[in-house]
Amino acid sequence: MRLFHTKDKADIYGEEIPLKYVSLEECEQLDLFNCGNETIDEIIKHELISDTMTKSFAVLNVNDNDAVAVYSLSCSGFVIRSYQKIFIYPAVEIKYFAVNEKYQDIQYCDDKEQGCLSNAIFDRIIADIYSFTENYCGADKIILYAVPSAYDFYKRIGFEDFMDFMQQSQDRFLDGCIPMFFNM
Amino acid sequence: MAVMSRPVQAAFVVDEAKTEQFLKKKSDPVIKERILKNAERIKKHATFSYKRQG
Repeated sequence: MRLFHTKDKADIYGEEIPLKYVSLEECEQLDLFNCGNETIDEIIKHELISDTMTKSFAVLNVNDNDAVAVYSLSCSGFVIRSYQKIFIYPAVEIKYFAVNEKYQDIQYCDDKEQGCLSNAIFDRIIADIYSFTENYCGADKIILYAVPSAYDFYKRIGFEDFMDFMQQSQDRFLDGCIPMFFNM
Repeated sequence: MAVMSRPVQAAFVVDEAKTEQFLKKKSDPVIKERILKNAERIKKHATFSYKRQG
């Protein structure tokens, strides 16, 4: 299947795709987004825009308005119990990060060390979070629940395992996901 | 499948015995520099247009 007008997926680098980061409600072709998980696709298409506890965004391919990736951010925190008191430390949570199957595994440029398009898109998300927490609302950690297949992706970026520090009674609620955190 | 992260019904609760160790973890300036440099790179072919809700 040809993804682009003149090149196959294997022939194009991520840096050649003109992108636009927009609020999710501006994504006109959201119905065509397919990350490979029907449940998540349905949430993205029908629930995220109206969810006031998250702010959701789409990364569009300017050439055809395809949604390349969707991500969703929330104000969140982590809980510390100390001397029978509960403290909440602020964090930004990446609730969702999903990449359209069409755009998976596209190398970013001819230097393989630079990773895939997904890596570049995600670095931009982290940079935006740095800007937000340094200029508008403080936090020094990013938290997320990684699906197991994305664990290495996040480790390479610099995320660490929260399981090493987590209160063990919480692990039964993880639904197969791996809690991770990033120190900003 | 290209879902990388999704929410679950659990809070990030730090084990009391590991609180100090967890809070001592600080950012790595090398990682930050790499991320911000990569983010600048994507700006060459990306634009940003965020609409406020409401």
